[in-house]
Amino acid sequence: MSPADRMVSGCLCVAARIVSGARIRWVGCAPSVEQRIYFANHSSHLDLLLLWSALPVFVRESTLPMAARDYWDRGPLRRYLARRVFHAVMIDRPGSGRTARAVWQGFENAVTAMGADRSLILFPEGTRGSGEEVQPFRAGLYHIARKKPEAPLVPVYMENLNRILPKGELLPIPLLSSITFGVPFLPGRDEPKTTFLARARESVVRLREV
Amino acid sequence: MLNDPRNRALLLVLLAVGLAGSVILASLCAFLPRERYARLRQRLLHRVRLWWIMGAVLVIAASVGSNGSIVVFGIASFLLLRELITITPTRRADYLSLVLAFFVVLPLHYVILASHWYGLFAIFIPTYAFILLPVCSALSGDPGRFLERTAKIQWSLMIGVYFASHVPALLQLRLPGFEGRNLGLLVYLVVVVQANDVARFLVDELARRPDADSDGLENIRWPGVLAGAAAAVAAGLTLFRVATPFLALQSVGMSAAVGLLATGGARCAVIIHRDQGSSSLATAYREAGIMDQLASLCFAAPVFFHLTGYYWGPPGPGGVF
Repeated sequence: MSPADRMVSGCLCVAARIVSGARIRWVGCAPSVEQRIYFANHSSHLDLLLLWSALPVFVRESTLPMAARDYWDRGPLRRYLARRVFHAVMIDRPGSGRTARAVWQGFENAVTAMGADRSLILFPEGTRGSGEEVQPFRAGLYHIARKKPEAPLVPVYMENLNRILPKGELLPIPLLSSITFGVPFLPGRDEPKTTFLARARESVVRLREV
Repeated sequence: MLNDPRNRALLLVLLAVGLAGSVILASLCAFLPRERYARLRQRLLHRVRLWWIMGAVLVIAASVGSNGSIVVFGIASFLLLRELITITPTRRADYLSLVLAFFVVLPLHYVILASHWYGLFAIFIPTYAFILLPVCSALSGDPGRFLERTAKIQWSLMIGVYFASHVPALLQLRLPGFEGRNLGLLVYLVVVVQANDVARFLVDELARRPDADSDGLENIRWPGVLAGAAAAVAAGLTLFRVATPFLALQSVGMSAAVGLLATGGARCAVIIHRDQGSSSLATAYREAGIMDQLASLCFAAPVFFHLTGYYWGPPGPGGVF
């Protein structure tokens, strides 16, 4: 990362945390450089930025967020952020006009990019929810977990971001929010997809009460 | 303001009072048995920390003068408003009202204060903001709990912005014979409120039965209230001569009133927090927030401001600013 990019990413983290007043709580585990898959609920455009900023610097450096291409590949600023600051792995979302093969390829790319030591951030709901309910998870998380069975899956619950920057708005309201990291778990051997996704979704919903 | 040697003396008095108070509270913490009084000890330590922050704020306010303290309290208002709105269940339709509350109403209110326009300062929020914000919420046509949402936003503005801004407004009161010494009023108010708060929750916790686990929500306990008022009067009597234009008996009256108002404010803060949910997340926001500490000051400031301006201000029409 070039020094300019490093400075941008540092400032961005500070700004994001101040605006969102985020309280970061590591409830189920501690920050670590081990390879993990962080997955969170999705309710606002701030989600990716905030979850990425919430990680301590030494974890952030080896973590790749997964970013939806139809949002992050538009406009020079977003492209710059996605590529040079976040080092995001682009994926195509189903329904954004790409084939199922292309969507699948995105997850393959993510697994390759993870390599042996990089962590991943993804939002299994696939799209922003209303913030009230966590929508059923899409299959991507399952496929990645199958390809990387030794990487612990860390559920993350992000609260209140939908009120700070609701869908369709540009100006964030400076409220308080919270990011809670839960207890990591591993996929069961031969665990069917529906059971796994339900279990993963449960682990995020449960963090709401913690 | 710091050029005046009387103000400098006042700050030294404040430092002495703060040190004495901190030592007393810290020793209390050391002597109380740990398990039974865990919550009390935590509150006492929290409170001591708050005192040192407030002391620093007062010194900053004294060094930079009236406009600087307006900025400082503007920031405090922002933090209060943020905390209050966070625990308020607003909906998507309130987005515009909230944007206006944070980015227009809050700064504008303090700008009006800085420009010494008392008439508008007194009614800007209760009239203009109270009319504009519900209309903005109503534009999107979401009727779900509309009155509740509107009321909560308006109340957050009142407590966080309107009440809180009366503290720096004290610096602008025109009190004949007392020019340049308004800092004393600030110090008096803050110290009296703190004395009231600490005495009240000390007596409440010490008198509490060990098996009763409440959050202070039962019927109000009069020993605590009276102890708070007594401590408020005592604190006022130590400070009135150096900090205010009051006479002794007048100080008793003012500090008793301030004490009772502060108790009222603290009680409201407890009930607001309980009303808005007691999940551990809400508790986390509460522990990190400042509303609990500042609510008593916010409720006492406006009446103290008006009473001081009304009785000690210039006679006849002419405004108090």
